[in-house]
Amino acid sequence: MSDLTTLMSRATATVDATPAAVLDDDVSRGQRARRRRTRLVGTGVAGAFAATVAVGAPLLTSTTPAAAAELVAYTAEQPAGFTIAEVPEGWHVLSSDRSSLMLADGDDDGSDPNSFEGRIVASLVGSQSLPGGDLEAQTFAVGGQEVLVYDMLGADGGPSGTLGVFAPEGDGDYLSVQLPPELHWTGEVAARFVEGLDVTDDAGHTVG
Amino acid sequence: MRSDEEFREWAAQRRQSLVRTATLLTAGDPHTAEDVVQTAMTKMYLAWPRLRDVRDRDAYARRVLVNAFTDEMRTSRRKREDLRSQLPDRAVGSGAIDDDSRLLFAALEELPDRMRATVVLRYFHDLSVADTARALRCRPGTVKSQTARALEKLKHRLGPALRDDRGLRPDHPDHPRGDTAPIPTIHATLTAGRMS
Repeated sequence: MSDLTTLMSRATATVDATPAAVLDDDVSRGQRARRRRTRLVGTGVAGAFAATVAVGAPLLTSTTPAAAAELVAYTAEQPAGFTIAEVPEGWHVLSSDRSSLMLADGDDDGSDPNSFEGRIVASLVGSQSLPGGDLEAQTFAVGGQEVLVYDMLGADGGPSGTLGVFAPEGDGDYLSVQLPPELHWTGEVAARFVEGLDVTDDAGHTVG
Repeated sequence: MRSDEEFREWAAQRRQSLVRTATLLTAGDPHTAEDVVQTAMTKMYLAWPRLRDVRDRDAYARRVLVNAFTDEMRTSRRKREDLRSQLPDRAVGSGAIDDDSRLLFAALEELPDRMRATVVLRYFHDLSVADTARALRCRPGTVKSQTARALEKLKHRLGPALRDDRGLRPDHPDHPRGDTAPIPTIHATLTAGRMS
């Protein structure tokens, strides 16, 4: 009795083993992509993401300021609830649990753990947490999904320089990442950073 | 560079399986399947330094493959205006070596992209509901409902093929090695514990 698995296996049985030259090409493409990433942050060339600016979009610049923090590979132990590909140079994981991740720069001694000021905060949220009302988002096509980048408002009601990034996680959930103005990041770099953040199975919704 | 060597070793072991999966995801289009795998391999290369655990690597590979497939489908649809209510004729790739395979690819093509991905991960990769949900970044309940609907559609289209007895048994020495495992027949699947 034939079954679906057998049919699928038979239909793909002619796919040959991978020649060495194809593997070489894969490595070469990866190396080129890594160099492009480095140039994107280092020179402000915004070519890695297809950006669609919404009508009435906020004042997010399309060039990376010289003061922008550079992204570097994250090599320390992965935190609970999340995996990190890259971090701003000199930044480290301050705290992490099932519901949130907090990154801080080297000068941050970790005092006042409840403060988000000057820190990167990531959490898994529901769609009800998306900024609404007057705020318009820039959208970036990243990994087959549309990542939303908002220019968040400060206490005075004006633009604060803080970016709010929302990446779909399926079934109406979003990975929410707040990026402080100290990073001087464009929407492109913000989206790239969030592309390298993954929510693990252990992550849970932020409550409150 | 040591990291490149490790990546190349992993790719040598896993790339063929990814191409097979992509061939099913693209309903037998070998060229699009190769494009999707190349995109996924680049993503894997960039993420390689943080993928130290073998299980993490394979799970991440499945996820980026599905994302690359979804992105490719969305992009290709944006490039062309759809003026027909019926699917256009399309040459089936070299993987279609017999009538049953052609029928399978045609049936898969009629499924929505995410539903097709769900059934491929469940029945070709033999992933659990939970692992499929993780790969597709959706809830287990969504996987169950998508699987049930996909099986109904496939059963309708593949009835004769699924009752055909010409296929190699999964334990046959010529059976392709991969992430497959024997499962009950479709008739049993729709009523047994596979959906839980």
